[in-house]
Formats: sequence, structure tokens, C-alpha cells
Amino acid sequence: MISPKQKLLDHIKQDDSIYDFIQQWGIDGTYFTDAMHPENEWINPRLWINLGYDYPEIYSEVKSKEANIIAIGIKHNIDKNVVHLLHKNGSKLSMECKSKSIKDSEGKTVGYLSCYIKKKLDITSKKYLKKLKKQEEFLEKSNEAALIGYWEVNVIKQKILWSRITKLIHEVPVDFEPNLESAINFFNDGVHKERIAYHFNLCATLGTTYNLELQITTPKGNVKWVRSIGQADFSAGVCKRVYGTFQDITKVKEASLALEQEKEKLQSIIQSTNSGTWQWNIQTDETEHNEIWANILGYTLLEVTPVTTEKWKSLIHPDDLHISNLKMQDCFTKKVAYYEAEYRLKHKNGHWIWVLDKGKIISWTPDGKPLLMFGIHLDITEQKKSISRNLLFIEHTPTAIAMLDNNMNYLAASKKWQKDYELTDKQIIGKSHYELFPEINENWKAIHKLCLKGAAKHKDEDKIIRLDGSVQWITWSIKPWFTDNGTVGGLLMFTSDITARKKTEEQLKISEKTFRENFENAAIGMAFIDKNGKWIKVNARMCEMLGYTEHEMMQQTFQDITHPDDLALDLQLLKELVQGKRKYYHMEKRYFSKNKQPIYIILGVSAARGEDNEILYFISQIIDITAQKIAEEQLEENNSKMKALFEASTQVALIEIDISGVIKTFNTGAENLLGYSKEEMIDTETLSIIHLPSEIEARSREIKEKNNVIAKGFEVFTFGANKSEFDTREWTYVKKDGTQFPVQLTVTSVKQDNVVTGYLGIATDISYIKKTEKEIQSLMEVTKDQNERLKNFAHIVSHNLRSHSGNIAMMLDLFAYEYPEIQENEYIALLNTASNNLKETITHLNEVVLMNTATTENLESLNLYEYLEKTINNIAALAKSESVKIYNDIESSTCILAIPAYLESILLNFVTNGIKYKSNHTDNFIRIYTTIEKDYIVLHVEDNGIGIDLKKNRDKLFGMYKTFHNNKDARGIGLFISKNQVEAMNGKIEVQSEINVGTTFKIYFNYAKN
Amino acid sequence: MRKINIACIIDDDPIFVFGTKRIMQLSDFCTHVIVYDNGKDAYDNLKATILANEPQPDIILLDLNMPIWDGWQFLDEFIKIPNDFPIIIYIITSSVDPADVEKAKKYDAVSNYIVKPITSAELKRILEN
Repeated sequence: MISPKQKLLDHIKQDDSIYDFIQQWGIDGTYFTDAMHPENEWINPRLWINLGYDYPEIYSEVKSKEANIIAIGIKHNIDKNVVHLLHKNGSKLSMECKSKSIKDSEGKTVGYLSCYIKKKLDITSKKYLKKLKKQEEFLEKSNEAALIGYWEVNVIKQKILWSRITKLIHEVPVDFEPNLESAINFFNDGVHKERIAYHFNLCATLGTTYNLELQITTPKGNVKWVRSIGQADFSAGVCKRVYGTFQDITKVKEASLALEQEKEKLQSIIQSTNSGTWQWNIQTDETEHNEIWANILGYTLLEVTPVTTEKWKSLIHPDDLHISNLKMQDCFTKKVAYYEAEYRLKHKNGHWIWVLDKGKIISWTPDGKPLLMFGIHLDITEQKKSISRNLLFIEHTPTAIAMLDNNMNYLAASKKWQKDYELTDKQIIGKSHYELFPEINENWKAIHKLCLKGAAKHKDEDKIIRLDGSVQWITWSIKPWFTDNGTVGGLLMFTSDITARKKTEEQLKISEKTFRENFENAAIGMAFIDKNGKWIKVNARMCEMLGYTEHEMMQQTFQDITHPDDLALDLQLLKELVQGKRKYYHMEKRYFSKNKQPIYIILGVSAARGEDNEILYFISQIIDITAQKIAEEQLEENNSKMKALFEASTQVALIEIDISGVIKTFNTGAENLLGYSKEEMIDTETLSIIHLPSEIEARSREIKEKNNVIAKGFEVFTFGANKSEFDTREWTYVKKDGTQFPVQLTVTSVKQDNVVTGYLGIATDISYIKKTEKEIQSLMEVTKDQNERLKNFAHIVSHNLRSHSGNIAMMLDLFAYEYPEIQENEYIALLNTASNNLKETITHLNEVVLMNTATTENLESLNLYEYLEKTINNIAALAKSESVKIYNDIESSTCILAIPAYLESILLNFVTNGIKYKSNHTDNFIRIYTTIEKDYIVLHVEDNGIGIDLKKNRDKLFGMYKTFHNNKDARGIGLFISKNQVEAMNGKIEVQSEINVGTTFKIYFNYAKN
Repeated sequence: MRKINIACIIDDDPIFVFGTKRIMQLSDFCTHVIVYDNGKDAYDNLKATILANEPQPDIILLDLNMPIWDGWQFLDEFIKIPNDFPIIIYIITSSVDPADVEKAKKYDAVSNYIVKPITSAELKRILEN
């Protein structure tokens, strides 16, 4: 397409009068427009500059709003002689205007041309000057107030004048004298400096005015926004002077920049919510959309701009256009403050996008028409999808359910709902619930209101009386549903007609009451069991039977308490019941009671079935037969035991007689022992054939003596059994061949229903036992005899030997007394020694004999500590003279079982030994302490004496008259006696010793437990 | 030392009797000594003496092991004889059987239990008591 400027040049080429016209009239500007295409217009640079616009700037922004407005202003005024065009700084520029139509060769108008000359002011009038002066002063003052400074450049003299305010703004001293270069240098480097230089230059050369907002930096380093306005005076085409104002606009500028930033921030917030934004001038149908708005639909903004109403209509789903328009109209007529609509728009790919469109009219024309509207777009496709799924679900739900929006309008309703409320043929979606049911009462409306605020209401049984008076029972539930952003979107209503159920229930109640009483008080156990074997209900008898409380019972299944061996059959029968193969079953089985005892029961089970023949629960009836069962089992057991006994006893005779004494049973054992056969005995013989008449008579006498009862014949056997459970005594049996043998016979009565029907005798051959008994008896006698003899021997030793020895001693004593001179005789001296030795030996022997006859009965509980203390005291003198220290480390409460005399003797013996066999060193000691080993208290007697060579002497140590030291006092009897004494008290002695180190004797005593 | 008039020895051991008599003599223990060699004989004679109100022994030294009647039998019967005269009875025996010692304690009439052989020193100690 040819540009308008080019077109004008083409016209000039064909018709040079146009050129002359421009030359003459277009000093301050030219405008051209094409007749065929009025929008193709051209404003020359000079006219732009005169109107205060930056020529290159305006060129790059041909489409800018300002430019359009200017162009419109020009276009509308081309037929006038004087026009007032709008200057960029807001003032009107008065210009003389000459216009001309451009015609082609055929005389047809092809364009219009306008030329402009600024109106010259008549500056020659003095009056005018005066006025002007005054105005200037006024201006200066008002400028001062508004911090507007004045400046002037005398181009001829190259001199710059800054007013006080201007200097103030620049923060320079009052006497500061700027030049052109320094003045420009105040402006910040870059765009600010470049623009002021450029515009000043234009102004000075072409006379254009300028009005710029720029930044300066003062010598103090403050950065300020300033508005610099400049214009020039020309005289004879030469610029004499450039002058203008200088205003500090930092605050305004910063505020507007802040506003700009705020706007950007807001924009970015909207951006981040993924909302599309739009702005619509309703009057001009001009629109502005952001990138997201386009992106929602799959486009870039560039692809869809400009979005005219027409274009939008082409995008919207035809079904949604109407409702959207209605809502928009409500907004235009101020019925609603906001416009809000959900509708579908076509995506670039052809599918539909659900958007939520919200908008507000932000300005109105003076005559009340909507002017500007701002709004946002949200993609709600996903939300819509889920709702539509819900709607679909609701529609097909088999129960009566309806979904309504916030205004109680139907969004969806199930078929059942439509059927129940006779809405089948009506169009209900979108319609109000109250419109469909005008008769609905205030109660319901109140409930709806509550639920719309978020509450949920529910009633299991609600009685509704219909217009025709019939009663309808329903269950209903109303609850809100929520949109994705958590607000209540409307209501869900659910109802269910339970009239039929209610009727059945009422009937049931009556029969149930009767049944319940039966159930609770039944003499047999009864239970309801669900399909999983869990008790639904059990009666008191059932609990009692098993020992559970009702609560405990309910925690179990019948499988839990059924004996595992009986479960399979029960389950099999139950299965058949479930399958309908049988109507009930009976079985004997076992339960386990709470304390794990088997409970025998007869179980009867039937099934209760519902309308559809499905099993609701099982009814069990349980009879406890444990007592019978146990009796039965015991009987069984006894029987089999008996049988086994009868059969198995080949060496035990079992003979049963009836009450008349006739043999009824004669087992194999009896046959073996007695030589008679069963056939010979049973039902034929009595017991007298196998017993000795003398024994029977003897027993008869005995009974008579002891009990004063006359027992004849077989009664002697049964007498004891009648008195107590059984009677056991020894008898002699006579075999068929006449030989006799002893038996032990036990007789018991045989009872049936507590009446004695006979007697059972169990006889064992005790020949062997008798024989052994006899042998033992004779052995005992021999032993006793020998013991006795031994005792006598001991007695002889103790008494007779002592007598003789005593006599010898006495004779020697007398002899010496009467013949004192013979004491010198060596033989007599030796005789004396021999006599003394004999006496001592006898004493020792005697002690040993006595010890062996001592019994444990004589043991007493003795305090070991105290006994030892006593011993230590007794030998204190000896210990002192021998320099042996004795330590009693026995716990003072230690008690042992011992014979006092023995204990004294033992302690004395060991302590004296310890002193006797002391070492040669100086720190000799004997330490005595106890330990506990199993049932013994062990007395340790430890010394650091000369020690004993145990390898050589262990065997001899405790022997009689064994010594192995060269000690003059050693007689070899002490340890022997002590050992015997300890053993007589059920103890023992152990020894550890090392030569020249010491000896420890361990004496084991029985522990006195108290 | 009190001089005893009559001392009675009941013992079947002639050596012991000889010895004891000799000691008594030597120590001037008593004036008269009566000796019986068994319990029965002693009982019969002493009973006759008591009943006849003749002089009785002041002290009896009684052996336990004797033929016919032993010491215990003698004691049992002797104490039954009513008698106001205090007779001191010593059991002098070679038995060290603890059972005998215990038994002797049960008789109030028995003053002490002395184990043979008896020495003159012991005899003196008896009389001092």
C-alpha cells in the first residue's frame, strides 16, 4: 500500500499548484488525507513539532492514542479558517488554516490538503505589553508558589538567565551564572541529557516548543525530576531568545512511578492467579486483554488482538450466549453490581473451555451509559467436569436425590427423585424447588436456609400426612455441597420412602415382644447368630451354661467355643442349611465353657430368611447334656476298664458273687490261681469251696466280738464291704488240688441304682510276698541279735573291764599307801603306768561305744558362737602361755544341731590341736569362722601352724591311736573321737593342710533352721 | 571329820570290797563295816536290822551290777522300808553308762554317783560332804 505521504508527493508531481499552496500556507504545518480512505492521513513533522510532539517519537508511535486524537481534531477542522489545535502541554494553539481539495485529471476529489500558519500576536501595542508585564509578574509569583522557575537564553548574546526558583531547584547559589553547556550538564547522562539537548536545539532552530519530564542531579548530589518547558522567539526567521519554565516535579513523578509500580504489582498478582484480564470500552468497543486471557484459549495475545464483540461472539458457545448477555444487561442496568457468568469458549484446538467471567463497570458516561468495564477470566473447565460428573452420578442414582444451587434451583435430580415427586414429565433443571412445590411449608424453607449456611440436617423417620390424609414415612437428609474454593455451592437433598418398612416394623414389634419374653426366660439356651457366626443375641440360660457374662459371650463366635473335633460337622450342616438343602439341623456337640471344661449339648439350628430368601440370621437352641454325658462317659470308661481288668488279669482272681453267695464271675486269673474252670464255678459253686472253713469261722468270731453281729457263711466276706467301700484282708485259698496259698482279698459291693446286687472279690497271690516277709523278718532278727550282742560286748568292755582296771588301780594305790617304800621300786612304777594306760584306753573305748549308740533325737539347736567363746575362755591360759591368738569370727546368731557335750569336746579338741601344733614363728593364730554349704553349716578352724603332710597321713589322720608328730602330748585319740562325734551328729570332717603353712579343718554341722 | 559308826558296802567284787574296807580302815573312816555281796542279801539283813530297831549303817556304798538283786532292785525295795534314820547312799559303780547316771538322779535317797575305782582321797571327800 502506498503511504499517504507518498500519495501526496504523487499528487504534487501531477499538479505543482499544490506545491505552491504548501509553500505559501504551510509554513507551520501540513495535513493530507485520502478521499477514498480517510484513515490514510499524513501530518507533516512541522505540524507535530508545533503541537509539542517529538517528531521521531510520534513517528514511531503512529498508532498512539494521542496521535489519533490530534488527527481527529485536525480532520474535523479542515474547513475552518482559524483552528485551535490542542498542544501537547494542554494549551490551544491558534492557527490560520487554508484547505484545498485535490482533484484528479477527471476533476474527481481524491484528497484533502490543509496548511497551517501560527497566528501572530500583535506585540506592538503598549497597552498590551503592560498587561503582559503584569501578567508576567503575576505568573512569576504564582510560579514561585508552585516552585516553578523561569529561564531564558539570549541566543544572540549567548547569555542564560535563571530565576531564583530555577536556581533553587538546581540547588546552586543565587550568584550562580550558568552557561548553555553547564545548564545542560545538570541533566542526567543518557536519555535525559540527549533529549533536552535535542529539543532545545529544535526549539532554537525551528521554533518548536517542548515540554519534557527529565531528571537532573544537583551539585549536592540530589536527583530530581523536573518539568522543563521551552519555546523560542524568532525575529525575521532568526531565533533571538529561548525561554521557558522549570518545575520540580520529583514528588509528583515519584508518586506516579509508585502508582505505576503498584499497577505492575497488581498485574503480576493477577498474572500469578492465572487469570485472564480484560478491559472493555463499551461505547467504542475497544478492548484490551492480557496474555493469559489469550492463553486460556490456546492463543497468544497477538493472535487474537483486537478482541471485538464480534470476535468474542464467534468464540462463545451458542448455548451460553443468551445467558451471558442477560447477565451483562443486568449489570448495564445496574441491577447487579458485578457481572458474573460461566460460559464456554472455543479453544484454538476446537474444544470448549469453561470460563468464569467476572467484571465490573468502572466508569459511566455522563448520561449514565456504561463506559469502561474491567474483568477477569478463570478457566473452570476441570471444576465443571467434576460437577458434571456429579450431576451424571446423581441422575443415575437409584435413590431419590437432588442437587440444587444456592438459589434452590435444580442442578440435577435422580430418576427416582423425579418419580417419587411426580416430576417425570417436567423440565426441572434450572427451576426453583419452591416453584415446583409451591405448597412447601416454612419449616422446610428454614431448614434449607440453615443448610445453605453450611449445616447438615437429617431425620431417620419423618411422618408426612398427604393431602388425601394418607400417612407417608420418609427418611431425609439435606446437606450442603461445596465448591472447590470451599464455599457452599448449594444443597444435596436425599429422601427415602420407608412407609412399607414402618408398617412391617410395627407388626414386628408386637410379635417381637412376645418372642423376646420367651427368649429371655427360656429353660434352654437360645441364641441368634449372624451369617459370620457372631452372636447377635444370647439368652441368660446360654450364658449360664458356658459360664460367660452376656458381654463376654458376645465377643465370641460359635467357632471359638466349639470343640475343634465337632466344628467340621457343625459347619457342614450349617452349609447345607445355608444352601437350603435342609430347614434345620440337630446335632450333639461340645462347647468349651469359660473355664475350658467341655460342655455337651444338643444343638438345634434353623435359619431366618428375609423376603428375598436370603439368610438374615440363625436361631440356635441349645440343651446342656453335660451331666448325662459325663455319667455316660464314666460308665463307658468304667466298663471298659473293668473289662480290661477282667481280661488282662491272669494272676489276679476276680470273683463275683450274687447276694445269695453264688459265684457269677470267675475270670482267667481265678482259673489260673485256683485250678477250677469257669464252667465248674459260675452259677454253681459258692465261695466255701476255695476257702478254709477254719478261717471263715475265725473271721465270724472276730466279727461277733468286735461288732456283735453274727455273720454266717459268705457274709464274713461281705461284712466289711457292706460297712465301708471295700474290705481288704488276707485269706488262704484252697486250690482244686488241695494245695493252699495266701492271698490278699479285697471285696467291694456291686450296686445298681444304689441297691446291692452282688459282691466282687479281687484276690492276689501273696505267697511270694509272704515268703519275702518271712525272710526279712528272720534277717531282722539276726541283725537284732547281733546288735544286741555287740551292745553286750560294749557293755562288757565298758563295765567289766573298767571294774578290773579299777581294782588294779585301787590295789596299787593301797599297796603304795601301806608300803610307801615300794614306790621307789621300778616295777611298781611301771605297773602304775600300765594301770593308768589301761584306764585311759577303757575310757576312750567307752566313749566310742557310747557315741555309736547316740541318736539324732538328742540333737539340740546350739549357738555355735557362744560355745566357741566358752571354749576359748577355758583355754585362755594355755593360749596365752603359748602365744597363740584365737579369733572367733562366727556370726553371733549361727545355730547348729548338735549334742552339747560333743560340741564342747569337738571345739576343745580342735582349738587345743591348733595350739599344740603351732609353728615356731611369733604370730601364731587360730581363726574360726563358718560358711554355708547346702544343708550344712561348715565350721572352719584355720591355723598357721606346722601343718600335716596329707599325702602321707590322710588315711591315718582320723584313725584311733594314730599320731604323726613328735609332740609329747599326742595320743592319737582326739581326732578319732571328734570324727566319731561329728559323724554321730550326721556331720563330717574335711581337712586342708600344707606343711609349714597351716591347717584348716572343715567341720560340717547340721543347720538349725530356726 | 565326822566319825561314822557303821558303813555298809553292797558289792559282789571281793577285790573292791577288800580295797574299800582297807581304805576305810586306813583313813579311820568308820568304826564298823558291814558287807553284803548281793542286793537281796543286803535288803533282807538291813530290813531286819531296821525293823528290829538295831543300829543302822550311816552310809551305804552300793554297786549296781550284782547277782540275784542288782543295785536298782535293792534301791527300789529298800526305800519302801519305813525308816526315820537318815542313811546316805552312794552308788559306786564301774558303769559310765549315761542312762545309769540319769536313773540314779531319780532316787532322792541317792546322794552321789561315783565311778570306780575309788581312791582314799575320794572316800575322804565323800565323808567331808
